[in-house]
Amino acid sequence: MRAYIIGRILLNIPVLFLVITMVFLASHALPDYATRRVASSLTGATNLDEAIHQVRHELGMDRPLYVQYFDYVGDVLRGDLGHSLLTKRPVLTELKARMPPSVELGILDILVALTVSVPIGIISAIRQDTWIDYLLRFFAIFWLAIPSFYLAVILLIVSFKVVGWTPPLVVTAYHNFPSDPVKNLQMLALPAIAGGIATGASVMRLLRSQMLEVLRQDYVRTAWAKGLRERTVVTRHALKNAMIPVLTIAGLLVGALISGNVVLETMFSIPGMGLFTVTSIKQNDFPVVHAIVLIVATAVVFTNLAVDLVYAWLDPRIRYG
Amino acid sequence: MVGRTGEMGPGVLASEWAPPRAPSLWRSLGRFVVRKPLGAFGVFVIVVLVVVAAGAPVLARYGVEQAFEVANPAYSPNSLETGKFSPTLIDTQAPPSMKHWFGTDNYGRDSYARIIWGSRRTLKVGLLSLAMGTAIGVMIGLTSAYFSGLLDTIVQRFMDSFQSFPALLFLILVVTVRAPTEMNLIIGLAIVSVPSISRIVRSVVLQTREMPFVESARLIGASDLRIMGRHILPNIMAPIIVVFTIGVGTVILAEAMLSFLGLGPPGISWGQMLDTGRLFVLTSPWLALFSGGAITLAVMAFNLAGDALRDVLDPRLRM
Repeated sequence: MRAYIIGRILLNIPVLFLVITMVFLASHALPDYATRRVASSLTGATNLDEAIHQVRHELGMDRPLYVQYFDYVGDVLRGDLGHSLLTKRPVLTELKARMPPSVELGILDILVALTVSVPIGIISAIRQDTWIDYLLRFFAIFWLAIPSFYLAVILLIVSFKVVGWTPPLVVTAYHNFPSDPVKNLQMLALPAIAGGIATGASVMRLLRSQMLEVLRQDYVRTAWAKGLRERTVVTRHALKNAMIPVLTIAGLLVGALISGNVVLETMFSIPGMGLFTVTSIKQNDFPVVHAIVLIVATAVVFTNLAVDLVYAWLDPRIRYG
Repeated sequence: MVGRTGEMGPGVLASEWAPPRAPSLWRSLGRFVVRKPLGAFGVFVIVVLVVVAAGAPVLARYGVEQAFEVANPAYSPNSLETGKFSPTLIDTQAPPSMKHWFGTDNYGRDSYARIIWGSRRTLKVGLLSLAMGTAIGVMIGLTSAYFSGLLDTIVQRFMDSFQSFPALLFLILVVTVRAPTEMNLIIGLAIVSVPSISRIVRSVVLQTREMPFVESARLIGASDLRIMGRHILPNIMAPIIVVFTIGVGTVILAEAMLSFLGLGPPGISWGQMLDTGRLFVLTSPWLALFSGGAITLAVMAFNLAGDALRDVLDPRLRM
């Protein structure tokens, strides 16, 4: 087991270095275009070339590339991710304020996805090929195709026409759940449902096919033969084993979740990291954008690593295979 | 007597036997429609998309930026009050009608026309970026799998690492590094689709490499390049077509998301229309509904067609 853990960690180190290097290339080595944008909008210089020189010097880009790279990696490892060009404050400070809504949206997204996909996947599998299976699979295909931002638009329209209520559609202050649950859910419920259903559809398909496979196994047949109730057989014996491959998808889903977050936050004006990314790009505040990309990509890598390890812990065949 | 399907039996002379005729194209198509109705629907929508994009000047009824005006009921000549001095008003946010099949947007432009013209961006970006990505991905996957060994391991490690980088974030990086033109977006999307394509091509080539015809080709002295290009490549076209089709669906969605966020190329795009539409979605939802519907339909069509093609051509490719 230990060898497996060490192996997985070692395999992910080059990935981390690839992430850092790519963000470095984008932020220090390539951005002729970015410095031009920044120079034209943010400096007080009189002509464009002078402005570009000024910007490059400020950001330390006129030093040799390898010097910049080592500086950059060192900074990152020490937690210094640069300063916002607009507010001049450290990027991490800016991000700290904006992380809670995004994190909560992600968690709610996953909760909705699991709540939707697990029961539907199970029912669809144990009632395979009946009308209810076809109905649920048809819906799954449909929900899978609808992008989460379109689903959000539809839900918004429906909620407005039917109930007369909409979540706040301009940027409002975020109240976290313990302090004001009502306002918190008002802001996040609709986007979470839209994102969760879209994610849940793909989870449901996988869970259904895994359940079908597990239900054919001998140990399940033994459980039936012992005369156990259907509920017991499904939840205590089949479900646990069927969920394992679904976990591996969790790693991929985090990536999709993040892009969904960016879109949903922009749509519902939720003051989180996704919206911050978009507004920063539009305002040419590139250090913020690069820092966010670095943080998020690193989080995805660590999530994948964690999923790998949990998968190995749950399924002994993996560690010794 | 030779049976129509070429069976041999009593009464059939060996010298008269001929192999069975391949089914005609229409027959294969008919079988496809019957066996895979969803896939046929997808293919049908794709054909409609291509026709619409190509025939936009004819089908769109109006121009892209053409703003419409209606008579101003409050018009009074020589008046200087706002709302009264102009004989016409711009027909903003009009509901669907015979004149405007999908209604108008907030600048008075016909939504139906803009959706028809917008299909050009969707198809152009989707098909071009996947064509580029498939070309690169096939080259990488084919050479990596054919030569195996250290090269294969390194390339695969690199591809896996690249794939863990979320695609939207990579595209955001591209937008900060290069001007957001259509071509840069196409190149960015092509790069993003390379890892998954090369992985599938690689796994198929690893199987094809062991087949007898490859060994025979090597024995008669064919060069590696010739074997890869002349023998292996034609036999892996089926999975390539499948990943291409499904990939177009994914890329269309990515382009729509980027345009929706306002980070896409200038010019008309369904994602950008959805972004505009959401601003007044509560009062006149038609723009958002129709543009989002167009995106969903296009993505669904390519996904369904790709799924059906995969089931028909090579079920081994299933997840």
